[in-house]
Amino acid sequence: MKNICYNPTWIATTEHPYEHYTRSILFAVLMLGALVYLYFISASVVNLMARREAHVLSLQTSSQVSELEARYLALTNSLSQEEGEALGLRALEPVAYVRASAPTAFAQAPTAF
Amino acid sequence: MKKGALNASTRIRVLSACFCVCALLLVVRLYFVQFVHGSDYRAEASSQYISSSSEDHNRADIYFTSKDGSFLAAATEKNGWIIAIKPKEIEDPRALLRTIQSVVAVDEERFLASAAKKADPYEEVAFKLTDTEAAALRALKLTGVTLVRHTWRSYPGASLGAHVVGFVGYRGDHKEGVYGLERYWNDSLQGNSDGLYVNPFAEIFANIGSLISDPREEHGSIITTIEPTVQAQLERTLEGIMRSFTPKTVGGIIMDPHTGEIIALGVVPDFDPNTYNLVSDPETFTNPLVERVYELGSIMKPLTMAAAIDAGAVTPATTYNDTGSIMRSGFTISNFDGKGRGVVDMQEVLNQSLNTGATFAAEKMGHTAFTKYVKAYGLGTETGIDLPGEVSGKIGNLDRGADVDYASASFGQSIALTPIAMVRALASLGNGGVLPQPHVARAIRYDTGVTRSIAPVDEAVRVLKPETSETISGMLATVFDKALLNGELRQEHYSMAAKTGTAQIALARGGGYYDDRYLHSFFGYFPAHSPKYIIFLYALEPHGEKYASHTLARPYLELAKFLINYYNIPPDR
Repeated sequence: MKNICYNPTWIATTEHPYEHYTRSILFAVLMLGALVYLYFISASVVNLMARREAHVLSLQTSSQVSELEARYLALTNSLSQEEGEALGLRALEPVAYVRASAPTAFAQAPTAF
Repeated sequence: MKKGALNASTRIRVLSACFCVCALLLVVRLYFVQFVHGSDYRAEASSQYISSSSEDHNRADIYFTSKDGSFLAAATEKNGWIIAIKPKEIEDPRALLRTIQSVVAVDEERFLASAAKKADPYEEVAFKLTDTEAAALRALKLTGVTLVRHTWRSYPGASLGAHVVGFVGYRGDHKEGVYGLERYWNDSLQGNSDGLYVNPFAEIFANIGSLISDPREEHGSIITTIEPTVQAQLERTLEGIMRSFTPKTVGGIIMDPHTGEIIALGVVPDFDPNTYNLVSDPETFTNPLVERVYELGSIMKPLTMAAAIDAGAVTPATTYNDTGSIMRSGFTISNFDGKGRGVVDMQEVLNQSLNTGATFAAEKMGHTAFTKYVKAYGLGTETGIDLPGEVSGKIGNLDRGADVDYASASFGQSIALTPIAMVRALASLGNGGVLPQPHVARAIRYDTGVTRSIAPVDEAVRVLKPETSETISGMLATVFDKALLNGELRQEHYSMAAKTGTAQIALARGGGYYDDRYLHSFFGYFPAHSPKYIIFLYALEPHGEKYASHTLARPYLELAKFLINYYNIPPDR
C-alpha cells in the first residue's frame, strides 16, 4: 500500500489535465480583451477629437449665420415705403372683394397617352 | 517532477517578460510624447485653448418665428478670439503694439497699461477678433502674444424685441440671464461643460428622458412666438408715438386672442442687448408691460359692461339718466367733461366713455358680482406669462367695500393692473368669453433636433358666455365705426372692436390725481366677431394731446392695416 504524503510542490509541478486548454482559452480571451480595449480607446479618442472639431466648426458656422442674420434684419428694417415705390412697387388699388360660392380653380391630372 | 518545475518556471518567466515588454513600450511612448513632440503639443494647446467656463459657451439659442415658420436667431453664440499677452516676455511694448495694430485695432492705452504689469502672466488686450484676423496675427509668430478662443452672447436683431429676449449679464461673479427670456429660461439655455462629451449610449437615454421630464430642466433652444417683421413694425409705431408725443414710456402688445400667443411685445425706450453696459438707467431693462401696474382708465369700461350684460343686469338698450356727475362716499364721480347727456343707453356709455354710465352698470349688477367678475378676469393675479418679474394687479380696494372704490374701478381708476393682465382680460371679450394664457415661448428644441412644444395646454377659463362676447364685440365695433374720432377711422371691409382710455395719474404722495398728467391706453381686435389679433397700446404721460383717441387711435389703425396685409386676413363685411 502506497503511502501518499502531502507534497507542497505537487500543485506547482503537476499539470492539471485541463490546464493547458484553460490557459490557452484564458490567453485568447485576454488577447481579445486587449484588442477590444485598444479598439474602443482609439475610437473614443478619435470620436472625442472629431466632436471637438465639429463643435468648433459649429460655433464658427453659427457665428457666420449670426452675422448674416444681423445683416438681414438691419436691411429688412431699413426698407421703407419710399424705397418700395422707387423699385416700382405700388399699393393695390382699387381693391375689389368677391364672394365665391364655388371652387375657383382645380388641377386636372394629365391624360395618359 | 523536475520537468514540471521547469515548465512552471518557464511559464512564469514568459509572463514576466510580456509585462516588461508592455511597460517598456509605454515608457518609449511617453518619451516621444513628452520629450520629442512635447514643445509642439504645448504650442498647439496654447493656440487652441478653449475656455472651460460653462457660462460662456454651449448656451442654447433663442429664435424668433417668421410667418412662414422659419426661425431667425434672436440670441445666439458668436465665436472669435481674444488677444492675450504675457507682459514679462515683451521687451518693446510699443513696437509690439504697432505690429499688432497693422492687423487689428487695439486700444493703445489698455495695451500699454497691461504690458506694464510685468508680474502678471496673462493680460487680455483685445476682444472679438475674427478667424481671419486671428490667422493673420498667428502668422506673425509674435513673442509674448497668445490667441485665446472666445465665445460671447450675440443678439443679431440688436434692439429688436429686447424687452422680450433680455440679455446675459453678470450676477455676482458668474454670467447668467438677467432679463427677459434669457433669465426666465436660463436653466434650459445654460449648457454644462460636460455636455460636449456625453457618451453616445448615455445620450440615447438622456433624449428619452427629455421627452417626459420638465422642459425647464432640459438644455435646449427656445423658439418664441415673436414674429420679427411684426415686432419691427410695432417698434416703429412705438417710436413714432414717442417722437410725436414724447411720453415717458410707450408700450404695445399684439396677441392672438384665442391661443394667447404674443407675436409682438415692445417698449420704448428700449436698448441694444449687445451693448447693455452703455445704458445708464437700469430701469430701461425692466418690462413695464409685465412688471409694472397702472390705473389703465376707460379701457376697463368694456369689461365692466360685459360683466353687467353677462350677469343679466343690463342690456345694450338699458338706459339711465346721465347728470354728468354723481356722489359716492363723499367723492364726486364725473364724466371726462363734467357734462350730462340725459337719458342714454349702454351703447352710448361706451361711445362717449361715460364714467357715470360705467358706475351705473357696476352698481346694477351689485358690488359682489362686480368684484367676482373682476377677479374672474384675472386682473388681480399674475397671468403666468413666461417672462420674469411679473407682478399681480392691485385690486384690494374692491375688498374695502367703499362705494367710491367700486365706482372708480368700473372705469379703471383706483385699481392698478399690469398691461398684460388687461390684454388677457380684453381678449376674452372677442374670443367667446375665455381667458387665454399669454405666452412668448412656443417650443424648446433640444440639441438632438427633437422639438418639444411648451405652449400652455391647460384648459382655458371661461369668464363670459359666448353670447355676451358677441354682444360686447358688436358694441365695441359700433364705438370704432361711429364714435371714435367721429367715425373717421371706420374701415369699409373690416369690423374692428376698440376702445380708448385716458386715465389720470395718481399723485406720488397720494390723496388725489394730477391735473395735467395722463396715461393713454388703447385696445382693439379685428375682425370684431372672429378676431385674429388684439392690439394693445399705452403711453405714459404723453404731451401735446389730452385724449388717447388723438395719440393712439391712428397708430393702432396703422398696425391693424399692416397685420391685415401681412397675414392676408380676409374681410368680414
